[in-house]
Amino acid sequence: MICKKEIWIYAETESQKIAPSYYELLGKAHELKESLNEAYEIVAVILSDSAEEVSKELRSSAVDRVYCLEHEKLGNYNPEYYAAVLSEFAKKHKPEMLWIAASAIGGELAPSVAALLNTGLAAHCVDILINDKGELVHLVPAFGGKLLTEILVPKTRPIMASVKPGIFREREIACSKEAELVFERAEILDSMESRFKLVEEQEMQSSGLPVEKAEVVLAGGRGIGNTQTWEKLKELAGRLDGAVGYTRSLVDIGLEENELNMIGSSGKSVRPKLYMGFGISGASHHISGIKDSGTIIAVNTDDEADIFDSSDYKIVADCDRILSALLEVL
Amino acid sequence: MNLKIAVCVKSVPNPDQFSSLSLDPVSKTLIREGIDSVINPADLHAIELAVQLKEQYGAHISLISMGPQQAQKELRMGLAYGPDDAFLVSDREFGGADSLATSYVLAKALEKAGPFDLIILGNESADGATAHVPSQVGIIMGLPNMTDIVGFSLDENGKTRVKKRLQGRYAIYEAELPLVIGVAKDINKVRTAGMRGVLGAKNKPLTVWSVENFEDLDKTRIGLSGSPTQGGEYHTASFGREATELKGSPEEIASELSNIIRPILGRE
Ligand SMILES: Cc1cc2nc3c(=O)[nH]c(=O)nc-3n(C[C@H](O)[C@H](O)[C@H](O)COP(=O)(O)OP(=O)(O)OC[C@H]3O[C@@H](n4cnc5c(N)ncnc54)[C@H](O)[C@@H]3O)c2cc1C
Repeated sequence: MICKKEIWIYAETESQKIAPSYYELLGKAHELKESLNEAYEIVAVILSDSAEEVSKELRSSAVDRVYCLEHEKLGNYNPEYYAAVLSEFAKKHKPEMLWIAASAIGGELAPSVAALLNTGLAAHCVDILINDKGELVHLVPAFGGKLLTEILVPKTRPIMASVKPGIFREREIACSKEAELVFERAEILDSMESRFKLVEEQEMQSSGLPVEKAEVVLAGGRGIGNTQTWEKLKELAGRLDGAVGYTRSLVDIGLEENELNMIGSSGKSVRPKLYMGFGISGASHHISGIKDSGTIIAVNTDDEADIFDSSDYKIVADCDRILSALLEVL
Repeated sequence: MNLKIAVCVKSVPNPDQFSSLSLDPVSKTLIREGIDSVINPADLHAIELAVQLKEQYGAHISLISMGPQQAQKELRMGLAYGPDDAFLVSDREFGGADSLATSYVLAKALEKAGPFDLIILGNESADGATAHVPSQVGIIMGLPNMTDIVGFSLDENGKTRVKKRLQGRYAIYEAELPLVIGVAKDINKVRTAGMRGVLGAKNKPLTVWSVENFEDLDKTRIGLSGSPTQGGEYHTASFGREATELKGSPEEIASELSNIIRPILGRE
């Protein structure tokens, strides 16, 4: 029997449900498969203490096979257990490609697995395609998104790639047949004791709707300047049923505590119908996270601010005054 | 407790000047003229954490870097914050390394300068920003490792608590030393180095190692040829849009904006 080459997608779960990033990667895998001139199988891989429930969801998600690697030690995320199981399994089955969403977990899992397998990992891909020489090429951002560079993994296998959630679009894919489900106990963990012991989990304080899911995003930068103006922006966001995002500088000046809803190359990528940026200069670090938004409106006192080069509407004005006026009419 | 702490630092082009980076239209190579180099911003937070631990428990802090000879300048600057000595691994043969080949060389340098109880790295570099190196250094050295750390504490018995950022929550783990961690900027506020620090840094030992200084280096794992990923061409990312400028008083602008926004939201 000749085995077909496999594209593996690590299916991350969030509270016993498959994370949306899985479907984003799956969409790209199907797109790539169409442009490959060899037959490939698309395979989903789950790590869990009990994969029964989630595997049902994956079964009809247009993949050829679902590997469910189970062990009681895989209930909570532990970097050592996860990396060990995924890398061992990849050693055994030798997939051609292994894709992992660069989420909080995947962003750590991917480089660990790559190091264990001694293979190449293209980080934070914005596209994965076949070039005119027939090579598999990953486009990844460099210098804060100012440039894109091509990454190839010519010799080692699997070719690994990580992709930030929200970068690829989910696609409708017809599922012609149910996937084969393969359950396997991750025996290697029987004798392994992690050196990290989870002792506590804490909820992150967040102000409302997650930015990456919102249709309207209002974002503030250093130019917001003070709490009153920041409150006005939040109130306006509430009226528009929108979410609030921000730049790193807004965290630096203490208006937000953490980077949870920070937008940009080290934060979230957003793709709302409407994005409005107030007091944001437009560093590529930030712009790379908003560039796929529908309409972009920017307010800045500096006529030459870079953000205007990436905007549909330009307003040279004080952001506090514009916010106040908008609160009167919206 | 007399801790031995290593902080890995990288010299990077100044991120505030990334907007002036450009590509040679013909050769597609990077033009970085006029852009100075700085210590990678996240690494300053790694140094800060080390210095805080030194203040608390007493420690010897070593800076470790792989990079060109010029990176000595950034190491001197790093020493001004309080570390005790620095090691620069510099050789043409190391050039062009991807994250795995970089991690391999850093791991070798850490072994040579060590052993260390704690190895701290900035979570990501400003230029490549893969955030691979902390985990990969840990894996190659066989040490427990964790990234995106926003809180860290250590008790007298050498037991640590690390606070890791996850999606919408934090997870707190206990672990023993030795440990490798990648710290996020949220972990602390970086102090200013001060004149005394800068002057003091001049006389601190800074050792430069080349390939010859390592006995057991696997040459198939270093530099461009030892890198499993290979970079192809650069492209300019195009974010460009043509902006329409709205002018007038704030009230006029607001009413114009309202007309633009309402249809997008599907509101009358
Ligand atoms: C490795 C790395 C990763 C990074 N990742 C991210 C990231 O993911 N996301 C991110 O956002 N940043 C990131 N940054 C930081 C980024 O480089 C910029 O420093 C940051 O985006 C700037 O934020 P800002 O526009 O709010 O502040 P500034 O650049 O300081 O701009 C403030 C703007 O406000 C305007 N202004 C001032 N007063 C007013 C007023 N009253 N009304 C209107 N406008 C006013 C000014 O003209 C100016 O344009 C990263 C940096 C590094 C090194």
